[in-house]
Amino acid sequence: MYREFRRFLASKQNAQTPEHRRIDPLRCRLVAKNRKGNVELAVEVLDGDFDHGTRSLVHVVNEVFLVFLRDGVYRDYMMDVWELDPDSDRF
Amino acid sequence: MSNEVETEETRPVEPLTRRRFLVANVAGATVLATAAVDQALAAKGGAIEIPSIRIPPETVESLATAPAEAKFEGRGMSGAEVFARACRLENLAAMFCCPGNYTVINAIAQEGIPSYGGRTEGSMCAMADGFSRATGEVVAASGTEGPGFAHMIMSVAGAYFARTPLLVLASNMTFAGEDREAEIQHMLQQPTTVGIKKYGKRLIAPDRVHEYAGRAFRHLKSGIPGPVHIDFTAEVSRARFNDPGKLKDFFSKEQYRSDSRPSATPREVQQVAEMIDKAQRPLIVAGQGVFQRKAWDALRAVAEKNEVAVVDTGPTKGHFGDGHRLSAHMAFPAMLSADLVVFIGQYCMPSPGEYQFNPDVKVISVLPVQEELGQNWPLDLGVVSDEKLFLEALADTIRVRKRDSWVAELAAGRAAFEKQNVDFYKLGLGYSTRTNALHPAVIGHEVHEFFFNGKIDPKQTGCASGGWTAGIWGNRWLRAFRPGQETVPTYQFGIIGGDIPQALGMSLATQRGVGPQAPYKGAPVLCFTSDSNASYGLFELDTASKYRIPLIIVLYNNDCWGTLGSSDRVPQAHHLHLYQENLRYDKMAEGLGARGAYVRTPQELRAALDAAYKAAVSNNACTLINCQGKKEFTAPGLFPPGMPPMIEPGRGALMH
Repeated sequence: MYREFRRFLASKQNAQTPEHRRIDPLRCRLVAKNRKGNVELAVEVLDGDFDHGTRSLVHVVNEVFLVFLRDGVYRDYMMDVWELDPDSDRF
Repeated sequence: MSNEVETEETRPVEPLTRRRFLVANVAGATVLATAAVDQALAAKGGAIEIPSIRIPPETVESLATAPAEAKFEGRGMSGAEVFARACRLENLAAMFCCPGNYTVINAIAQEGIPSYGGRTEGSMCAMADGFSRATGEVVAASGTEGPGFAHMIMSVAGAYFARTPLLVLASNMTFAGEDREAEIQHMLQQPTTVGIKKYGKRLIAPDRVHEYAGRAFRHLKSGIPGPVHIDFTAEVSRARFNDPGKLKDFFSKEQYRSDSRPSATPREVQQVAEMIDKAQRPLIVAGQGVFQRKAWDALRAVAEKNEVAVVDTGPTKGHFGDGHRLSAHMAFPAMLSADLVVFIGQYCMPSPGEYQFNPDVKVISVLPVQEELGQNWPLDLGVVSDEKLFLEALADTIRVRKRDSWVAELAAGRAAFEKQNVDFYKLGLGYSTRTNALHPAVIGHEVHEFFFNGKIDPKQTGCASGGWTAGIWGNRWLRAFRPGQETVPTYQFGIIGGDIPQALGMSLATQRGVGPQAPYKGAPVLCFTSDSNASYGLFELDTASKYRIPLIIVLYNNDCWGTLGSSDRVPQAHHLHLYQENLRYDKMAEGLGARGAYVRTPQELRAALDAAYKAAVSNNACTLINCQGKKEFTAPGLFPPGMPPMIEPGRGALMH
């Protein structure tokens, strides 16, 4: 799952993502760390624009929940960690 | 495929046919259908004829009988007849019932309002809901006092959360006898529908029966629709009137309600036009208000003039159309790019985080009632207006504009969805080949190729999908290219088992060519459902056969509830979610007078769809195709991904 997560984050910074949703590598950089199964996601601001960096991070987190975690293979994870009801359609 | 399907082109209805079965020469012997038992009985010798299933001639005669008008003269009009007359003058589109509430349903049928009687109140209520979802028209469902009414509740709730203009009628015993428990079936109905109705009233004053008909239709035809629950005590339904002057508020509909609609001010319309024009990637969420107010032409005009993306939402799909270049209905990643969202007629509002939008998106909402604006989602602008009037005004106001990059992004989003579907299909095909069972992605693909990408006009076939596994997988392959082409039976309330009856209601609307179904009058309708949902609605195949409703049911049979995964780590509870395996729903369909087919491979499914379609077109036959699947297909560890992603809004969404 972590490998897929990193791949998802990388996609946010590549040319296949439309420019208006892309993380500009000249302005900030996403940093993910895995500490014994606890994953940390941070943004490193490169151009001093902390407002833009924070907004970018919020957008990525939004997409983590709305896109990445909607994959059916994370159904158990969503129930266990986020306590989603099995009848929820948020898988 | 079973031999029956390969050899039986159409189900005989008239004239009657008979099949001989050998049975014991004992009068009144039990009829047994299995070959083994037949053989045993044959050994004893003798034969009697077992009549074929048939539609009784009385049904045919009854349906052909002309309406009769009750009159105040002579015997007078009953309270039920006064109410039924008001229903006819309000153009009530249809009434669905199980017998009970006799005086009212008889009066409605007598008035000439299309009426249908079936096997369970819950299913007939769902059928009414399906008819309305496919047309936007007001419909009625009726059940008998107490038990029949109680059976309707799940479907009434489903209609409430779908904002269906459903007139729920139910009888009651006498008001005078209620607290003596005189006779049977007493029940206080109105408290039971608290929270699932727009308006309700128990009628106890006979002279006010017409007044309450007026109140009912005022609520059914104004603002945001919802079920109206009227229960008739016997004192009201059986009362007799020789003089209309004895009825309170006996006004015409022009006097007891108004068709006047709220509309936005020119300044508000201008403000919305400017906000859309200022946005780079605007998106209209066209809710069911757009469908119910038949505002699809104005919606298209707005979208095309300024190149605004559109996603249609709600219990009915197609009011914008999946085939349009501006459709975002399947362009999921693109929706994250929208910088302005205009909700129009979105009666069930999501909360931020439920829809796939970005957190900075600006939001406008247009609703016909003020009190709902701002509910759940903070707005940048709220507008009170009838959806159609608003869209027509906006189409006149908004400027012509091209948005090439936005249109390209939408196209890329739709292409990505289609590619994902193809990938799922290839994966499913591999699983099917390995297991000799049909994966739902394979069923979905075959259904898509037959109805939406083959010889049949893709706009023709109305469709509905439901069930957890079947609905979520299957819906990805359905398409809605025109208003009312698709309904979502499980929408919002998650009604269980409503699929088949709702699709039957949709099919009846198509048979009669009501509203948006008119261009495809008489065409078959498709229902993609599951074995679990069949538990509730399957008996209505008798109703389908009785009324000659050409519904094609593709049933995904995976031997379990879709909830099976919830017991993965609780072996003690596993059996709660399981059925017997390899059940023959196709045989049950045949036993109820419909056609049945049993399939395990894509080739067999293709042949069964072809035979079902031909029988539907040539003989109005209803067919159930039992697609044998495998319960393990939903286990992501064994057959990844188990289930496909579900995203709101757009194709496959069950909520909001």
